[in-house]
Amino acid sequence: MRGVSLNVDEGAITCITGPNGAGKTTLFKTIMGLHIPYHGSIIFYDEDITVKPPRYRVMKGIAMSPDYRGIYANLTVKDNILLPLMTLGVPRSVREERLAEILKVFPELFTLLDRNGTQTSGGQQKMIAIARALILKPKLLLLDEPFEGLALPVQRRLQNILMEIRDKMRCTLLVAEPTISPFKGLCDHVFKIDRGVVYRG
Amino acid sequence: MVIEVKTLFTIIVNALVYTAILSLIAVGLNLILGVLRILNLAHGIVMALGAYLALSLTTLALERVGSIGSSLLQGALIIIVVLLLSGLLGGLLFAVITGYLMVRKLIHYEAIYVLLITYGIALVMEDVIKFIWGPKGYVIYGIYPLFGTVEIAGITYPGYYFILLATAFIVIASTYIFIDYTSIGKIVKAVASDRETAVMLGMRADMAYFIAFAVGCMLTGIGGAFTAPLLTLQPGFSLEFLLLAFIVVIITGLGEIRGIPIVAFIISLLRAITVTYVPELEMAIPFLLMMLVLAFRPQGLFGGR
Repeated sequence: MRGVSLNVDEGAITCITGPNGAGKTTLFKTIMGLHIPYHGSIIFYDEDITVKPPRYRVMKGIAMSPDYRGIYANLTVKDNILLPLMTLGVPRSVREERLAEILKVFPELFTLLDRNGTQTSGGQQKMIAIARALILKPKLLLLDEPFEGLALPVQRRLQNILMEIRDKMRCTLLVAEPTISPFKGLCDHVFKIDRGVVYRG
Repeated sequence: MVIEVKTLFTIIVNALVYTAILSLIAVGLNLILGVLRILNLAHGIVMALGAYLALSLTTLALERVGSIGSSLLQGALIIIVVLLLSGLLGGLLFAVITGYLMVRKLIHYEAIYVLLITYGIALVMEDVIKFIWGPKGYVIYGIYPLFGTVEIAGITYPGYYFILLATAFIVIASTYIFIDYTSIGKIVKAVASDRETAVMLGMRADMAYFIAFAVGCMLTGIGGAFTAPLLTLQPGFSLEFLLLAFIVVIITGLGEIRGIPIVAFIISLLRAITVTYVPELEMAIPFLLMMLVLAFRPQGLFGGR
């Protein structure tokens, strides 16, 4: 990444587009704390979190759904979704409340809860990954290629979900996709990224 | 060849006792292998630490039991608690001493370096044990009488054997429940299968690795402590158990903790039959079985599901 300068407005859906290898995932992992940048800084709500570990960022309200979904095959769908709350030591009763809230956004996951994490379709796994990030009630949600490989009806369903997340949960979304097409009418801001350089779209 | 009923029962009881010991060691070994991807050649030392601590602490406890005039039941309960504590302490001690090296360093190293370093740890700690307890052999007297005897098919067995079986069953079942049904267990499973996603979700990977390592060591420590009253404790006594535990791990499947008691029973039964009829082949038969499994099902009988 070179000279990346990016301001994300609160409560907006900001899209980052660029071809494979452009640096979208690297940018997201850097925001999440999985990579530490050599130069520059990451400011989140006026706090410099550049060298803070991922756990700190999660606790501050940043969550990410990776492009590879990262669904655990050895856990049920329910445990996959609840895992971040278990990690933070959230009591069981609160976890169940949050799950009920999330299932209102993703009612299609209700019947899958007891299934093994990977006994689900690609589209369902995308939704599980987003639900898992969303259950943290993040201020900033990073979605890396959420539309990749999804059939058109599932893409439309996901678009509606993203708007619902923005409007009802007051969550800021930063979404990366190779092309702008799945976002038409969805994003408030667009950035392009190419070979590690970010341009305003 | 006609097998006498008495011989048959002796073989089965001996196999069950050996199954209990091997299962405790192999579940610990495979838990560490599955989560940290570390094949710990120093694992025999964990067993030895549990056993030698059991030697010292049960000797102290037995003196107290005699002096306060406790009943047999009280004495037996005290000894069970002391053995459990010795095993937990031995395992935890090893985990604390080597934890940083394992969790922060070896986890990133190639397997050959891991083998060399853990073998080095084994040699160093073997000498430390010799320094503390000396090179002579020890036998713990006074434990068997507390547990009485059990008669099966006309043969009398020490009641302690069945305490060992019950303890191994409870400890291993608790480990499975811990891994499958508790939040910490699920976090450990998540870190083991995909570290990056786990960290992304806020998990402390190092902590999860250490918990798995410590639990694995404590299981083996308990195995060592409960084995101590069965044999003469001397430096290097754990090597035979470690070798057989490796065979159990390989036949079960690397990193797969389910199925270990079954495989441990198969190996223990084969060993008990061999010891009874052809003692010269005691180790050859389990190794032969291991080689056959590696040749025809390298992922193990329970691995790769």
